[in-house]
Amino acid sequence: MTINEFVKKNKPTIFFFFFISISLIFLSTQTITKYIRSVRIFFVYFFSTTYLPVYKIVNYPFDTFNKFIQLPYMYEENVKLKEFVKKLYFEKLHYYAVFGKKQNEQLVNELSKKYNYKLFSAEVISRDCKNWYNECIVLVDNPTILKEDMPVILYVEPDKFYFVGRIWTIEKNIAKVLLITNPLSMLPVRIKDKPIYGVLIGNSSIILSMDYILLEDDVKLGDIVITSGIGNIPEGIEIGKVIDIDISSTGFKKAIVKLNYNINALKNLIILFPQ
Amino acid sequence: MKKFFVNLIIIFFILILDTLLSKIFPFYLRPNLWLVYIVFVSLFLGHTDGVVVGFIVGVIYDILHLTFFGVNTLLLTTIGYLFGWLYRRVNGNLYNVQVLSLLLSCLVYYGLYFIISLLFKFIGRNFIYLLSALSTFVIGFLELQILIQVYKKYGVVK
Repeated sequence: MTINEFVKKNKPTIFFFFFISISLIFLSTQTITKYIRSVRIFFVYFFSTTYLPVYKIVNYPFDTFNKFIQLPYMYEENVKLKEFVKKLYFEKLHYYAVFGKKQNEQLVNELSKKYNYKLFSAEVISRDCKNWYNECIVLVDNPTILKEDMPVILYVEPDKFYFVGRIWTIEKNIAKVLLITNPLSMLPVRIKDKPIYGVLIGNSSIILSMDYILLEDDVKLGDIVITSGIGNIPEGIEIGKVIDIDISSTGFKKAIVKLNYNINALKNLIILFPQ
Repeated sequence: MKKFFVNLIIIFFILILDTLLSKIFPFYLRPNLWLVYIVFVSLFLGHTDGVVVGFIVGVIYDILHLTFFGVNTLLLTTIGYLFGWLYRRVNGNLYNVQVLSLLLSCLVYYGLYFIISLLFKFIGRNFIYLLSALSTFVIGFLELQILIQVYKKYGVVK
């Protein structure tokens, strides 16, 4: 029997002894030196990574199932969180409202001391879109001292006051303001630095007309229109400027006046108490 | 070549199944699917194949399970060699042959495992793992049927 024939005949046995000897080497690495053991650990660690894809494949359905189980808890948590966020949002809104109000009151107090006038803050709470240029509703903190016809002004930083209108009606702590742009509003005004008087009439727009100006009065374009001081309204509060001059049907001169402030953006107003 | 690829795919699937079962069963009831696969290879594919696949599968098992390194290589190679003698000597398609082979393989594997564990003292006196022989036998029989069907379908086994 040749060697080839022997190998062919006893192939499984030869393989078996070969593999068994390798297995025994593997086994002996447990007990020999720590250096060989460390090589074995490295070998095991290196080949363990091949296990990762399998581990991921197997873990995926388990993870999905766990997530599915957790869904109701997550939903409940989500609902609670939403409620909490909603509550916080309203608290934030409330905080901003209170903060803005306090800030405005502080400003009004400072202005009151500075100009030696009795001023009170008022917050615009409503404006009807049908009467946008006619009236607005304001909320006042101290309604007891509130009276009709009190002037309402607007303060613009750094140091400007504009006439907005007058208190029209009062109901508890809510007052309706007759805006200067209302056709019913007729306000005695004059031209700044000139003894020219007239009556400012609203037109339901930002363009107003200053009527009843004498023909000999020298009104020019760009002249500033201010309150005249007639009645309970203090003198010198700015309103607008002259943009056009015309002769009215009554035979007087008529100046077209454009407001100097943005009447669309009224928020924090000041009520002026007559001295 | 066809046999090689089929073996490779089957090993991959057994790898997944083994990981899956290790998540479901506790360690003392975990069936040894690799042992059943070696029995199948020895009975149906040949003596040499049984030894070679036994060695490769043993190494995979040792690496993945991080047990006493080399034990499963030794045991599965031995099982492959021993059961390889039955190749073409018995009819593997008979149920009683399959059941007896599985029983014997479990006996040899866990017996040798027990002896080696005593020699190397790596499991102490905790022999509860021997319970896994039961699950190996039950689930192994099902696995054997599936393996036979798959190999027959691909024409590797007649």
